Amino acid sequence: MPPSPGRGTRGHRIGPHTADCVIEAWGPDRCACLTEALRALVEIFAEAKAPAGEVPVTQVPLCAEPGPDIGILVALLEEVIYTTDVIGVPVRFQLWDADDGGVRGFMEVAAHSCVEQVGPIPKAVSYHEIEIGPRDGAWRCRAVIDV
Amino acid sequence: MTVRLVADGADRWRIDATGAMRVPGVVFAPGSLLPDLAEERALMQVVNVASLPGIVEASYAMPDVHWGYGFPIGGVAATDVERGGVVSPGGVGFDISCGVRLLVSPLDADELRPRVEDVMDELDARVPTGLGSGGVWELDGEAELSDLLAGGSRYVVERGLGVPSDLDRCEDRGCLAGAEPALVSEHARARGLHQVGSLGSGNHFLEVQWVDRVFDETAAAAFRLHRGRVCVMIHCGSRGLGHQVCSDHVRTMLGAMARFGIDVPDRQLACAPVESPEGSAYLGAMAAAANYARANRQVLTAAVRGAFERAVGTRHLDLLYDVSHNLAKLEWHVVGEGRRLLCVHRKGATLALPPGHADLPDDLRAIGQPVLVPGSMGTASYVLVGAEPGGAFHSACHGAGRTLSRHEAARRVSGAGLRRELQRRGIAVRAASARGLAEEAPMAYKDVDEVVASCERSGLARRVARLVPLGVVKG
Repeated sequence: MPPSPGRGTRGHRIGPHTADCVIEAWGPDRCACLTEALRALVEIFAEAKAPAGEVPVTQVPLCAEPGPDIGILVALLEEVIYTTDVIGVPVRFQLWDADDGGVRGFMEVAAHSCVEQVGPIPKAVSYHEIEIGPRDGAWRCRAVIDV
Repeated sequence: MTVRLVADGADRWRIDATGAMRVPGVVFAPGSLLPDLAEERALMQVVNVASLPGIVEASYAMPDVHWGYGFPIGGVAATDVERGGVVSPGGVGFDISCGVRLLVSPLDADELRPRVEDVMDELDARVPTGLGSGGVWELDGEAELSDLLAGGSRYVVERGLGVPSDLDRCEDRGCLAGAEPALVSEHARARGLHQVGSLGSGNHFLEVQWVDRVFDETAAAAFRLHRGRVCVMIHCGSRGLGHQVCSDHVRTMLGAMARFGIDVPDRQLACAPVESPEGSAYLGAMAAAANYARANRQVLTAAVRGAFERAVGTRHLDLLYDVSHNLAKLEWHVVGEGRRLLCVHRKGATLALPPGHADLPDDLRAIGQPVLVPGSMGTASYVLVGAEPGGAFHSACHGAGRTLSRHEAARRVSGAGLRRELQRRGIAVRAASARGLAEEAPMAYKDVDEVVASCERSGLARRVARLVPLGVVKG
């Protein structure tokens, strides 16, 4: 699990792994933590070329079926990776808990041309040392991302 | 847990089997790299791999071994197919059939140097890199993607991008048998449809190099390498399609392992018996992804030939060899007293067939297989040759091996500064992102000279030639 996040109730960071990247995220509840993880994933490789609101986006639904939290984390991260390869770069996320125990939401996706590549592009999510769950009053997660 | 290494020969260290280990671990490494290794989690991953059902002989680590997930990068493990041996997608890695090919030009470095910027500009324009760049070859659609997944480089050559002699110099003649395009998921296909003929990002690159040192004159002559010769090295893999195939099948196997009574110490080691529906499905989809990677490198070869023709008037770049360093293959090997059918996983390790091996092309059989070892960007790369008797089921290293994380490399080096430094040394750079460039800084890697020398001392492969860059295209 990531160490204590310090100030703020939600956030994320990108940490070292020899060949790839580790993302760590935290938030007051599961969806906040997952949302921060998705933001971290995009931060590895992309920056918007213009301020939020000035970049045209399309809304793409996000869905993770009910199941173990690790499965939900992987499903959402993989959906962002897939979208980046096939459609464009997700720049904003909105998630909520579904009644069935899964997670629903949407992401705002910008065209590749509207985003500057600032690092290697994520390709997959590893199960190596992956973690998610509540600890010390917050939800925290960690995943190694193949780039 | 502390991993204890016991000296076991030249550049060879043993980890005795304890606990859940079914076989010992064997690490090939120079003593000078061991202090680094001892601190790494890579050795713990060597130990974990030794617990896989059906593993035979040893869990091996090449001299460039470093921390991966599940398997170490630079790991080799073989399982006995008829004795419940498993296949693990994590033992292949996400980038299925990631590999290297080397093209040998008719030019010498002194001839090319005045025009190298022109060549690099042409390559930069023709070789897609980075975000949303698409591929050189726009496929007609799903049906053509299936043909490519079944045929690999062979399909690309049949479509006119390459010459038949290219296939003689490809591992498996450019097409891995057993591909099942129908077992590649819709998500994987969508990711692969528009990326055929693209470099990607991360550690993938295309370099224009020249031979600065020859170690073995006989092998070098057979490979048409002499001091000064200009070559082009292409290092890339199966792009999003291969990564998705791995992700899909790790998930499937995680759900199936309990049914086979398999428990693994790391979820990324998820596996299933080779002779199970899950194992068979993975191998069929993996072969299709491997063929995508080979096709990708073949299409990029056509782009390189076009760039050279435009910039310097020649397209005669002959393929020396194309070899994967992320793959699982069914191979026959002598284990103990008999020949056994093994599923040999090479994750960040290169096939290194010795002289006389039946799978070599006729004109290389007396010499052995070219083993292509890309170094870190801006330093040196190597051509080795498979040695007799070799080791680790005819395997050798695949690169320099990282010592610094991407994060740490980018913290210590700026992309702009690195670009200036490379240019000061006469190396032209074309890069998709400054940070991506910084993350691949040479200081982030082990010394490739030391790594390949260790391969030679431990008998895995012999050095033939050292190549250094004139220009780098970086994804």
